[in-house]
Amino acid sequence: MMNRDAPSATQAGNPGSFYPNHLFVESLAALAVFAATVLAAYVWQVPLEEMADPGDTTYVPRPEWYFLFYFQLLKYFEGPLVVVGTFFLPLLTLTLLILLPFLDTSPTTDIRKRPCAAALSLAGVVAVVALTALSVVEDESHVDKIVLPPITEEQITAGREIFNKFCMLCHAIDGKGGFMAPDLTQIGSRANRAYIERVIINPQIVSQTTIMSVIPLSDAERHEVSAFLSRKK
Amino acid sequence: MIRRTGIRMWIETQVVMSEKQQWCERLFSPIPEWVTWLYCFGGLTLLVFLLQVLSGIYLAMFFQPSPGEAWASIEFIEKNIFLGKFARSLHRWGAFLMVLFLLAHVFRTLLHGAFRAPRQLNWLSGVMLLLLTAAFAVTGYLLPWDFRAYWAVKTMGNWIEALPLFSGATDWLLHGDTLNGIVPVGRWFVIHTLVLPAAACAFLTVHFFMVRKLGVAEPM
Ligand code: HEC
Ligand code: HEM
Repeated sequence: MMNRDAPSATQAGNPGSFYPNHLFVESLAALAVFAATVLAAYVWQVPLEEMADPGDTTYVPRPEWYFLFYFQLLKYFEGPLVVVGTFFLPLLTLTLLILLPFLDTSPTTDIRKRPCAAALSLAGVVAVVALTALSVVEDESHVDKIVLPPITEEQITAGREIFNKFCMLCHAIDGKGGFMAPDLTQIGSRANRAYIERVIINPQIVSQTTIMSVIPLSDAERHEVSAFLSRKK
Repeated sequence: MIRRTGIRMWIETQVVMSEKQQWCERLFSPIPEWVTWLYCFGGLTLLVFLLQVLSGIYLAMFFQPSPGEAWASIEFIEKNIFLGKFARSLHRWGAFLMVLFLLAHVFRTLLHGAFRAPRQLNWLSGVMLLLLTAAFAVTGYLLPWDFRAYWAVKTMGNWIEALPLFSGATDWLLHGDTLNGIVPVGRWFVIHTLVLPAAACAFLTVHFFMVRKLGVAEPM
């Protein structure tokens, strides 16, 4: 693969040849990787996640591992600084990558003679590895799930009453009620309990312009309504 | 010198180009001893990329790029299509390994200062390939239209909305220009399976041509 006229290419020592020497190494590596990938895909088949459900708050989505460091980094930018993390930092990195050949023009490739470049690259690698590790650790210790109490018959009865009082004005159920909002007779078969809770807390997750208002229920009352509705299948 | 066999002669007569002789010379001519296993990562990235193309074509045959059918069609692929679940796993593992090898490859070129003159174009085409790989990862993540996909669109929409002039980005990403709330899964599908591969092929051509022309850089 070498070109003798390439400025930095020297033919020092005992040269092998691309064919067969390097090609052999390369093919061996390729074969190993191919076998490993096929085996991995066969043994550890990926699961299919659940279908998109706009309101499930019990789900803590994570990006693929190679984006974890970036998500961790974003946690440190808040409020007006968010734009710095989501826009300016990536832009700066990209610009640096593009300009790199024109910025680093040192004639030597010897890493020991390029302390600045060496320190910067090391810092970069350490930062990425550390952020990834931190993200994994934080994920494990902090899973922010809505904790829902188990459903009881009393809850369902109480939930029906709350529904009649606060929700029937707009929503119909079993043929009774308003028609300004979706019929909730079968809500339990198209949405789970966490989604219902989430809609009551913040109706705007259904639609930005919804006419459904935030109804001031206590946590216990909300659990009762959601218990009642999630059983309507 | 290596003896010329029939096949090689045939290939030489087929490759009609003025640089023919040079190409063959480079392929079979000595390389310096410092070319080690570290130099394998670019080739391995290419191998995995080709695996992605193959498994991707297979999946695309059965995938339904619309929000109502995307998830169900993947479930169908897993349950009813011959080697469907395997193809899907292969595609996911390939994505994983492609990023891994690509990072190793970039790190190697950085370490060896291979981005410097005369290899600027080699490097710049590489940066484009890095961006394209990220774009492959993001658009592919959205296609199953599962929880993670929905959440990813929401998250990225929020980032974009934080910029001035881009309010309403989430809505646009989720619903497109349509008012009936159709999620543009089809759009991401076209980007993932047509636009990005075409762009990747273009930049890979430049990338490999430059490697051919200039050879690989010396190590430290
Ligand atoms: C002022 C009218 C109004 C009231 C009162 C109201 N809602 Fe709603 N609700 C709506 C509308 C309208 C929607 C549909 C969202 C949209 O598209 O704007 C909705 C949507 C919902 C949904 C989501 C339905 C789906 O198919 O995704 C749930 C669940 C829900 N409401 C529960 C409740 C509960 C529980 C109460 C009582 C505590 C309640 N609503 C009270 C108007 C109302
Ligand atoms: C789809 C992705 C890519 C593929 C398939 C690929 C493939 C290759 C191959 C086969 C080589 C030959 C030498 C080697 O393997 O080390 C090479 C060289 C090179 N690549 Fe890539 N590459 C990719 C992406 C990138 C990226 C993202 C960068 C940097 C940002 C990059 C920068 C370079 C450079 C500078 C060289 C010259 C190496 C040298 O002279 O030592 N490549 N690439």
